[in-house]
Amino acid sequence: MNNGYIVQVKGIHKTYDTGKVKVHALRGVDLSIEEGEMVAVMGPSGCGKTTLLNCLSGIDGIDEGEVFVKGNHIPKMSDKQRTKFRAEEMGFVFQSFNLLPVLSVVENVELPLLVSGTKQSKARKQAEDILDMVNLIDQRNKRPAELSGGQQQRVAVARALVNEPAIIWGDEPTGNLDSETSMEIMDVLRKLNREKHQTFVLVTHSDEIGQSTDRIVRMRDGIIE
Amino acid sequence: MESLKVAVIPLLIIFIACAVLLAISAIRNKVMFKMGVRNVNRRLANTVLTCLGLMLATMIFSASFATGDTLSYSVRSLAVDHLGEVDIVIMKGGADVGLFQEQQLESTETIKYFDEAHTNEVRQVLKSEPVVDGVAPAIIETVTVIAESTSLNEPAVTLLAFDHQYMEPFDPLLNDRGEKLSLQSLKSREVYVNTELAEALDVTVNDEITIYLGTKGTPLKVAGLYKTGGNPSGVNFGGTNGSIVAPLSTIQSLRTEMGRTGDINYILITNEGGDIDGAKHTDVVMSVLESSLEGTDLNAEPIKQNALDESEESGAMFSTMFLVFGSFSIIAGVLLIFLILVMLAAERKQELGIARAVGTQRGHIVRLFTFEGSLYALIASAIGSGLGLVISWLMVQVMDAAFEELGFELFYHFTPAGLIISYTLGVVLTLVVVFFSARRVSKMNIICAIKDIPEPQKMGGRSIKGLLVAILFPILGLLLLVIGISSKQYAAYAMGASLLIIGLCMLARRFGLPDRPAYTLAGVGLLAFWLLPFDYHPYSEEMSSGIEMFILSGSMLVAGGVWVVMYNSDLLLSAMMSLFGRMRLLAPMVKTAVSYPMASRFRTGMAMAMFALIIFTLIVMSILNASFDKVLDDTDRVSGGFHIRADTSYMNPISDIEAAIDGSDILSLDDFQAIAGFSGAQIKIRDVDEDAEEPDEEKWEDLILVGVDAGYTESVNYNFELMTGEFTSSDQVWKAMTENPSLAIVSSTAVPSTENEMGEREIDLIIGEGQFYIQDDILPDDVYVEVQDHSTGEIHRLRVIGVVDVMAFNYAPFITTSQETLNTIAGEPQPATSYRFKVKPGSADEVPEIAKNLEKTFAENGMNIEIMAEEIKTFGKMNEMFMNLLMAFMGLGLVVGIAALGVIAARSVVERRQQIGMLRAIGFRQGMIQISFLMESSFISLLGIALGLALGFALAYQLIPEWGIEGMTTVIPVGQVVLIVSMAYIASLLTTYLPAYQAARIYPAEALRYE
Repeated sequence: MNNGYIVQVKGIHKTYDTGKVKVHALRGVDLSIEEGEMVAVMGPSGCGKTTLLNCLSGIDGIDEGEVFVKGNHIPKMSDKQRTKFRAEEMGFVFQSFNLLPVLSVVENVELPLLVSGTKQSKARKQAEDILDMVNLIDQRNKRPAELSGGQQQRVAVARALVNEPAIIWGDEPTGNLDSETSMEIMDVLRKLNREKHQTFVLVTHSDEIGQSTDRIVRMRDGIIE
Repeated sequence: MESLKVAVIPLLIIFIACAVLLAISAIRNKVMFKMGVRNVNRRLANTVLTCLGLMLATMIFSASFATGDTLSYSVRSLAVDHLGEVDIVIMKGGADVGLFQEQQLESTETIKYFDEAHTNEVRQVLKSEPVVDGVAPAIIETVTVIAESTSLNEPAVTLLAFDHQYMEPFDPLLNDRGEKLSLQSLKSREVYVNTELAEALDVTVNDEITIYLGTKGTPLKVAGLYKTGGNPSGVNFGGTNGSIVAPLSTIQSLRTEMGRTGDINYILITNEGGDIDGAKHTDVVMSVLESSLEGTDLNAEPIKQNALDESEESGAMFSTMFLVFGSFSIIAGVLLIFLILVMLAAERKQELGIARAVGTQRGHIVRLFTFEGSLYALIASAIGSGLGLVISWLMVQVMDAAFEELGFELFYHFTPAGLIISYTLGVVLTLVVVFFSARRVSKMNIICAIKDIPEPQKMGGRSIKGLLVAILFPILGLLLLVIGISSKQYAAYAMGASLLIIGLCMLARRFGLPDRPAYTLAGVGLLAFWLLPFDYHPYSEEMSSGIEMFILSGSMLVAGGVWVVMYNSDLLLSAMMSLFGRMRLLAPMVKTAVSYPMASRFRTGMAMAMFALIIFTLIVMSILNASFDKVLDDTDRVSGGFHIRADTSYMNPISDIEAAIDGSDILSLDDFQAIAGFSGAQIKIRDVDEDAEEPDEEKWEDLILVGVDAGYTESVNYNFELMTGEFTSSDQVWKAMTENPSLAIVSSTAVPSTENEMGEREIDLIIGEGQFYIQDDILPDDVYVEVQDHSTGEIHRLRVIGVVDVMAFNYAPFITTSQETLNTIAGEPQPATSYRFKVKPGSADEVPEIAKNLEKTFAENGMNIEIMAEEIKTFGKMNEMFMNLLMAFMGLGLVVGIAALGVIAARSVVERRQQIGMLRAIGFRQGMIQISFLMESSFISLLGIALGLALGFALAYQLIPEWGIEGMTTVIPVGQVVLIVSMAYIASLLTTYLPAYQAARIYPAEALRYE
């Protein structure tokens, strides 16, 4: 499956069994995303936005349905294949940045490249290039704790983009930032989206962020409205 | 053990005081107490892990005490077995029937006889003492016994001759069916023989044996075999403990036939009470005896009490030794307790922050952790005490195998007092550490704690209190340093210097020097000081030191090493990355594996220190042991070049050994390159203090003075640790001693040393005290001793001209003179009763055959042969076995390091859950996460191991030239080092495998949901 879509999802269901109760997080979701598109997934808390993102990116499994990313049927891949696919084709930006506190800015950014087997010197060069793009080259040797929230998220963005993935998943990428910094981050994402023609899928609560994407997908109670 | 066990009462008082304080505090802070108790129940796995970590120190205490108890008990059992009901003996002269004296010259020394009428006098004197149960005359001799029927012989058998009418209060002779054998029923020339001797000679009832009370043998009939009751008898370690019991009249008539004078040589006294209880009346009986024997030439010896004291001393020495060597593990255990508490606090950081935010005082947090820690301490110390017993049982099994060579059996035993000390000491130690840890964790930035973010860096504290501490530290160091130098105590001097180094660096830090240079300087300073060759220290020749230096040097070197490594970790990280970064597969894992531990300086440093400390001690011990073994390989050096050692009975000495060998069918003088004879005489000896106005009469010690013939002095190849300035070679010293009757040579155990000894000296006399140390280069030419012969009472002054090589051990007599000098002092010629044989060059293979022929030829003289090379090898084997046991005991400390790694790894999995999720999201496979965690633990353990190895090698190379054994070179036991390192590393990998596995199995979506 491809048909010009980088992501194609059909009838996915996902239930969490917490032992006492079963939570039906996704109840038959269908979704297609075009290559180079920037999509915002919005909806109230608990509607299944993050679960959808996790299932699409292969971080989480599904109970039923089909998920194709770049023509690959993610649920049918082994954990090893999925991890390799993520390392080569996907980038992630999380709400709380999730930078490794013990590594410097440039080391955090180059980590995905090292994971996919890039030579250390080449990885360092690429990491510095992308840091330059997000205007953080001067901060490259600092530890994340020494940066502001906006700067940390820009590092996270740089890390997500450094291996030039086909698709970037963002789970509330501006959730921990003030509105001004949020818009700065969005500007960076938009710029990269335009320049590199990469696909962005962003889960967000913010209408302002939603408005700045190509399309908004709204969810409620585990289904797309 | 009494010396150690006096600690029971003070410890119990401290324990109860702590308990009362905690109880009062708990009543006043019910909420905190409740929280503390609930925290214990909170997570079973955590509680188990914490208790395991906290119990290790107690385990070491308990194992050490139980091992000491076992030794005390075993020695005491041996004493009781061999002394039975006999509590005190009276004899002529000052000879000490030491229970454990080797069966060499001492046991073959003449025991003087006296009139039997003295027994009645003693009985009369003691009549008014109700605690005395019995007084009996006796003859006790060491004789040679030959069984004609089997041609087997035993050179040293205890002959006991008793008068049946006085023996009722003493031990009955019982056969193996428990039936009593009667002395009264023995006919003329009939004796009872103990089962051990009967087996050795292969004789039974009605067989004939020949005993040698003199040059002529006397045939006696075996009337019965007894299993117990032949007391008192000496202990023949490693040989047959044979004894014969005969009626006193039989032996007296035999002696009369031989023209010997005197009726008896012992009076035996037994007190009321059993084997051991009887000894408690010793003081009362001894005081009566001493006053009544005053002015006579009879002496009373409290042999039972002496043996019991000896057993207590050996037990205490073992306990102390295991405690000292286990102290590294105890230090590591204290670090672990601290680490566990800090980690517990880190885990609960947010809730503690919230508690502080809603009004909980810092003191409350301290109490909360102290309550919780106390409960852990109570449980952990109980487990530790129990496990210590298991460990000690295992150690006793190993020791028993080692002692088997000596024929000494160990009986596992522990006392309630030992257990109480271990438990209370464990609890009190844990409580102290818990209290200080609680104080540390209670210091927190409330906001950082609530948000679970790192504490802000303190920008050089400027509090008055802190400044005072920073100033006091170097002052204290300086004070200790001065005290150390003035009192010539190396430990105080070195500790003072270390505190001064640390204190000055910390003071500089207070005044703005950044952490990195401050700690690096302190670390480098400590390393430089402790690795500086001994000679560079002031008054190094005179400083006295002991085993405590090993503990101090280990702790300080490791502290210095850890500071240098941890505060320069970025260099290490760069080195690691440049080394492994080129390997593309490893690069991302190495990066995370190295970065995490380097970022957590405290916990990494603690874990590393624990590993380094234990590896350091094991490596030092292992190298010292291997190097010592290597010296021991040179058996000629230990034996003085002789091959065979022989003792004969003093009752039937060989008049002319060379003529006897020449006349033998199975021996030839050509077999030997040298034959040396030793004679001995009982004397009193004292060190001469030239400065004293009057000689100290109390300083006399009873001893055997040994005279050697020209066969010895001309062929012995012992070198000298020290000789007086007039000599330039060992030969000159031996020659001078032979030619000049006023000269003597002493063993290395007889002279002062700068090293503090762990146990008590075998002979309580130090020759030349205050004049020199064995570590000096030259022996002063005015070292004198005075000797007094018991019979003549004459005092002779001898000048000491040489101290024999330490490697001669007990083969070198305590004090040696020429045969002629000995004869002069003793007032009559002393026959040789001990010999050394040197076989002709190239005949080393024939030594066992020659030894056998010697024993056969001189069987009637009671010749007992030892092949010296075999004896030395057995000693080496026992030494090695014992050292390995000590090392295994010290290796228990590795459990501490390994437990620390386990704690850190388990905590890291929880702490980094979200980061693990992110790593999985960006492409880290499960295996990569697992490997990364294992690499992280490996990094810490390998760093600790490498540091321990480096410091261990460095100290061993520094120590060996200072060891005081000429020619001792550093030997690295590669196999053992590899074994130690690999065992430590593999164990650390196994411990962290589970947390690493759990980390790898973290589901990324779940981990990221924690956001």
